[in-house]
Amino acid sequence: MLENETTIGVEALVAEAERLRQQGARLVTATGLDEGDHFDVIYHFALETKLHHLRLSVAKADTVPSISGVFPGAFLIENEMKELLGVQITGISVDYGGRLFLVEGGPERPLAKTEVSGVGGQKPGAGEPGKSNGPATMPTMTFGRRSPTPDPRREVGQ
Amino acid sequence: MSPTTVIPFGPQHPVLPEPIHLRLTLEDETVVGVVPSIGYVHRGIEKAAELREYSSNVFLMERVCGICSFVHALAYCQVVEGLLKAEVPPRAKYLRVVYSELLRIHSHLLYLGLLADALGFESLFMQCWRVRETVVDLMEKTAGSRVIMSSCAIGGVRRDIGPALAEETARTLAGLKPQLDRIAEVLGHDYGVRQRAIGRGVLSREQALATGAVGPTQRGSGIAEDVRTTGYAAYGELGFTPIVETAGDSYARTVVRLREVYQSMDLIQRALEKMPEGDIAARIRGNPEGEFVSRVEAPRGELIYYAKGNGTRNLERLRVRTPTYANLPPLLTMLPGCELADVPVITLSIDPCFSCTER
Repeated sequence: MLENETTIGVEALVAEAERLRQQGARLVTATGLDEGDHFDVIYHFALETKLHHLRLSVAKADTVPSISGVFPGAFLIENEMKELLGVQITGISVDYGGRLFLVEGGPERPLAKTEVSGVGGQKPGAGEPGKSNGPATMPTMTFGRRSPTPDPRREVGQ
Repeated sequence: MSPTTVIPFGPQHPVLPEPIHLRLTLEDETVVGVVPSIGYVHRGIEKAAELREYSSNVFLMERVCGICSFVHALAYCQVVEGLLKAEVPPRAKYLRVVYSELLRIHSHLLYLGLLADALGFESLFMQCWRVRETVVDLMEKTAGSRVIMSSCAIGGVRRDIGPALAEETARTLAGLKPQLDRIAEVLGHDYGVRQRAIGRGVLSREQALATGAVGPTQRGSGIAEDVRTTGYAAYGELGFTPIVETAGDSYARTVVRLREVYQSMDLIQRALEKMPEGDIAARIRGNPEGEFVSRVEAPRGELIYYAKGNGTRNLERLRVRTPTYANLPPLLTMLPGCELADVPVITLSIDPCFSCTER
């Protein structure tokens, strides 16, 4: 439990974020925690010099709405939480489809401590190769890097 | 409406020492859309911190960023001290201020040099880095290393600054002020610098708040927010006031950093004068338990560490949010509407650090 922390339900998240925005709060970041049977998500806000924290407990099969419509800067934080931990966040303004930090063929959800159940066995962000799981805002973003094709120069060198 | 063109900016670009890819959508020469992609230097440091004992993570966290190494160690030590409810000796708090401000001077001078380089002003670049070299030498004399200082420890600091070294530090910094004055004069009056920075990449106060800008990017838009006002380490005893500019453009952000170099010199002077005698580190016992958040003001802005301990020698979770991570959304607000030729300098004006961002 952090100082200045409030626990809220998932359904109240967007409204509470909007209320804080109207008070002049700045979104600092969010932290996702794998608590075994559920995720805890803590949103950290700064209001003048003080920090305020909103904590959500969410079942692993449940979804969390994005607050990127309220705080535009949330999209990176939410993509990261979705990709590295497996929190199922929906409606992110720019969805990287699990490819913000990680590459195809690399580890999936490295910060998760347990498997996500109830989502058809598919790990978040692990869609069809080369395709984004997100909305049509970035349907063709493949980042143009890290081709899965072996680099022929390495074979020559070896 | 003109047809749009998509131009890739980066991941390798002459103004960027580190990789980021900006997918720019243009109408003629005007940027109308931008999407960033990062992930080129992600190292999984948060995960690595869970796998090592909390006491050895100080060295790991310092390596999140080569430029602001000390403040990462400081934020980490503070978060662990908060979990352990450990009290840091007063002298160590002053020494933390001295090391933090030396780091800020070197980082801001690095930025000023890189800006000059991006503008093609090579002689100014070299002048800025010549001054910075003296500061980096001071870091080596006081902390023992030019880049990764390794002088912060859980419970205090590792290295003291004795009277002779304190006097030399104060004298050296005082000697740098005339050189800095000459740099300030050029930055303030040079036609090329002003043309390329004034009115470019404007971030309004409202946009800065909405997108979560921090540090000089935020203070250049008229928001007087600085974590040092919370009084961590010994800042509460040194009479600190944030430096603010209101124009919100690339020039305002540059001026904030330039003025902060002078301010950091004064803070070091005052910290060395007021530093009490005593121990430089407290003995730390036990294992961290519970949750704690620590914030420090890195050269690029607010740096925040969240940690959760479970009573073992390993942390259950360590979360790091670096200043450039917070300043990327503001950058995406600055770029639309600017000319393609201004993109490099505007991008540089948030003083980006992508090793920090990606951890």
